[in-house]
Amino acid sequence: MNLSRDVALIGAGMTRFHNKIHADKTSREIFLEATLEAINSVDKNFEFKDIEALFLGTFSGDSFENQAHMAALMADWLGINPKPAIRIEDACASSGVAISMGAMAIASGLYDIVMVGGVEKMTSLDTNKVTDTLAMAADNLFEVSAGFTFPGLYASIATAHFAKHGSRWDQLAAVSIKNHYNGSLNPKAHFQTSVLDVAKKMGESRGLTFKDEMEFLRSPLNPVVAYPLRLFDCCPISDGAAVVILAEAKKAKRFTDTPIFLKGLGQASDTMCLSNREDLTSLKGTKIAAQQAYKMAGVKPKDIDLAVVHDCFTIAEILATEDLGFFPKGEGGVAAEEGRTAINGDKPVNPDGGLKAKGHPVGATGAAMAYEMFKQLRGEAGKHQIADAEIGLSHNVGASGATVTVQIYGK
Amino acid sequence: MIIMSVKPFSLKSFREYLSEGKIMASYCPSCKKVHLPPRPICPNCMGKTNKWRELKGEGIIKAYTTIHVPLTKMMSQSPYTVGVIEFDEGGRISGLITNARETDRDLIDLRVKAQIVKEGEEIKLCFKIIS
Ligand SMILES: [Zn+2]
Repeated sequence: MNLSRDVALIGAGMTRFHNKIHADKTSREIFLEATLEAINSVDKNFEFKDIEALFLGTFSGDSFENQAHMAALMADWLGINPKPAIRIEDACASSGVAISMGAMAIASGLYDIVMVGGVEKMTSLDTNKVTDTLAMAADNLFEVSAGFTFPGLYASIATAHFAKHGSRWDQLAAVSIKNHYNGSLNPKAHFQTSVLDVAKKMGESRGLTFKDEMEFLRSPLNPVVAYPLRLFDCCPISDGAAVVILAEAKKAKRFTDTPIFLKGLGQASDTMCLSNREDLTSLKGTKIAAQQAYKMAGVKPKDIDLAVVHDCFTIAEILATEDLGFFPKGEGGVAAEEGRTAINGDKPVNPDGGLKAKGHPVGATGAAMAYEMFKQLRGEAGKHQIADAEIGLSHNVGASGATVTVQIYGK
Repeated sequence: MIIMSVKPFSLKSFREYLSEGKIMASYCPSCKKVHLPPRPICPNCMGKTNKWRELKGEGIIKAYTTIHVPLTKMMSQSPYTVGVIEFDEGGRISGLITNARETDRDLIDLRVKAQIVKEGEEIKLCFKIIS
């Protein structure tokens, strides 16, 4: 299947993802900040009033801020009334899905220019309440009632993956070390410190020295959250927003000489309950969404120059690199350990630090992935730029895999 | 003539059976598959799963974790172990593993026996490692 009209990105903006710097703001203010940056990023001729609709991905303003009806609220605060505003809630994949919805709205001929974004203000609740809220994305009757948390679901995937494919926690740690290093190169990232530097800093204040990252990651300073996942295997709780502006491909030329084209998109659903999946070590939704996107774009996994994948937990990045077809099943961990997914590896994954270091304000993540694609493919990613990036892939997952979107971008 | 009362395929019936000490799954005769939680439509073939099947209550652990940052309502039990259990007859479900609070051994493939636990209004399926 193809889109009946081609779609391009003409602008992108995001706030830094963080747990403190947005403390005094509400989600509407954070979203406005990302929007203004996106609008200013359009090269020429763009006016706010050119936006014909807003597609907003957001997970749970309802719980985090006692605020529902978020899309209308954002449209109001952006001053774009009476343009239609649509909220999309698909857990952590909310704005990945919003991008597909925005693209489809353009492809349908209904609109030429739409804004797609995501926002989440999570830090208004304490960690335990955030844990409860995130668990709402799992099956309340049959997973949460059993005691499962969100990290717990991915931790279970990890124990199953270890048993079936012989992967090890050290390989998860390799993902964490890589993504923290990448985060140190990204001014928008929540964490901009390498694990080695964290180890030094935390060690100094406690009179401890660690011979390397691994010794630190095995220490009590990296406590278990859900065995085998430790703190440094989990993405942080962050506030933030990201926005991209999509335009019909021909119209896009009016606004920039270097638009980035959405070449392929895919989306799939899977069982809500992890327990109902035949293979607990793979996300079927990722495989199916990727097949659709590869087919539409006319490319293969080997053609992808860089990927941003949904590493809410380190094990999730290993699963993604396997299920997207970058490495054979069971070899994602080895690839991470060998540095193949590093910024200078043969298949760079999450050069922006991923959810692990960049942060994961749930509803903003999919849009932030599109932001990264826009910057990388235009050669504007700064210190974490992948040289000569031509084709990029983004992969956004809702909860433990019940929703997955894959998008492929090119010049 | 005695007509056995068969409950409709609903989650209410599932809970009622549990409170009677029965673990009841739905069964699809064309796929020969057992589904948990029981559901009226087979997710495999879209056909009607028109039979209840009572499970003996034993199976193996397919995946597990020990949770140290718990849900608020589970705070007093932390750390606790939960897992994905596959019953011998087929069908899988998540549940608390009650005798493996903090363990260093790998629990994958260990045998478990179901325990039906009542907590106030709630009725839960939990599991005990028996191997
Ligand atoms: Zn069937």
